[in-house]
Amino acid sequence: MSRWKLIWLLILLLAVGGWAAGFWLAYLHRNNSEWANYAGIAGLCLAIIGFPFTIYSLFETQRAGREAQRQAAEAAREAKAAVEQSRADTKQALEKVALMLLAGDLERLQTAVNAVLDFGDHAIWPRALLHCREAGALAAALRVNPLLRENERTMLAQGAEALAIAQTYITDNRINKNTTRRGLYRTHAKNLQSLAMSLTVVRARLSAISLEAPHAPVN
Amino acid sequence: MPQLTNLNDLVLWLEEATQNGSVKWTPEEEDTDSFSAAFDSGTVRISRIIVGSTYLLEMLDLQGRTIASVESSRQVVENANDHVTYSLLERLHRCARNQALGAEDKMGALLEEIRRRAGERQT
Repeated sequence: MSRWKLIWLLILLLAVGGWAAGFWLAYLHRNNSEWANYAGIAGLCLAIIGFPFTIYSLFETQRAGREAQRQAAEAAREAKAAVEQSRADTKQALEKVALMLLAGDLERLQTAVNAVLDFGDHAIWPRALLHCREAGALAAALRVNPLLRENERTMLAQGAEALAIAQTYITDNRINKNTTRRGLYRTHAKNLQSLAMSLTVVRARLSAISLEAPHAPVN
Repeated sequence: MPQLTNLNDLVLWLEEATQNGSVKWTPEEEDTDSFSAAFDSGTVRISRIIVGSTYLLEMLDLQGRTIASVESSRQVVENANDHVTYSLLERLHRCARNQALGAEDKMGALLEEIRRRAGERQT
C-alpha cells in the first residue's frame, strides 16, 4: 500500500470516529442539554463548509475528464500522422523501386541498341537483327511508362519506329542479300546513335532523382 | 565542318529547281528517309533522322566527303526558338521526297482511278 493511501485511510478512520463520537454525545443529551443544539449547529457548519468542497470536487472530476479527452484526441492525431508518414514513406520507397526497374530496362534497351550497331559494324547481321527486335520490343513497351516525361516518351516512340524500320532494312538489304557489307546505312545508324545518346540522358536524370534526399515528413 | 550560312536562298533555289525539273532527287538506299541530288561539282543530300525529328542537309564534294552541313531538330526549335531553319529543312525534305518517290503523280493517278471507279458505279 502506498504512503498516500495510508494517510487517506487514517483521515477516513478519524473522520468516522469523530462523526460516531459526536453522534453518540448528541444522542445521549438530545432532551436535557445544550449538547444537541451544539451538535445541530456543528452539523450545519459542516454542511456549509462541505458543500463547496463537494461542488469543487465535481468540477475537478469534470476538468480531469476533459483533460483526459484532450490527451486521447492528441494521441489519436499523433497516431494518424504516424500512419500518414508511414504511408508516404512506403509510397516513396515503391517509387524508388519503380525508378530503379525503369533505369534497368533503359539500360537493357541501350545495350541492345549498341549491340545492333556493333554487330552491324562486324557484319554479323543475324545477331544484329536479333538485338534490333529485342530493342524494338523494349522501346515499344517503355514508351508508355508514366514515370517518363512527355518528350522522353516521344523519343522512345520514335526509337521504336526507327528500330522497326531498321529491322526491315537489315532483313531486306543485308540478310536476304547475304552480304558481308559492314555497318548500317548512315540514316539508320544515326537514328540508333541518337536513341542511345538520348537514353544516356534519361538514365542520368533517373539516377539523379533516385539519389535525391527523401521528402520532408508529412505534417 | 563549315555551316551553311545562306540556307534560305539555298532551299529556295533547290525548291525552284526541283519544281522545274532541273534537279533530280533520288532515294539514297531502300527504306531510308534520305534523298540526294547530284550536280557536276558535288552532291546535296537531305535526310530525316526519326529519333529527335531531326533534318540534316549536307553538301558533299565529288569524292563524297561532307563539305558543309546544317541540321535542326524539334529539341533545337524548343530550346533556341529557331523555327525558320527547321521549317525550311522540313519543306525541302518534303519536296525532295515527293519528287524522288513520284508521290504526287502516283497519288494523282490513284485519286483519278478512284474517281473513275466511283463514277462507273453511279452510272
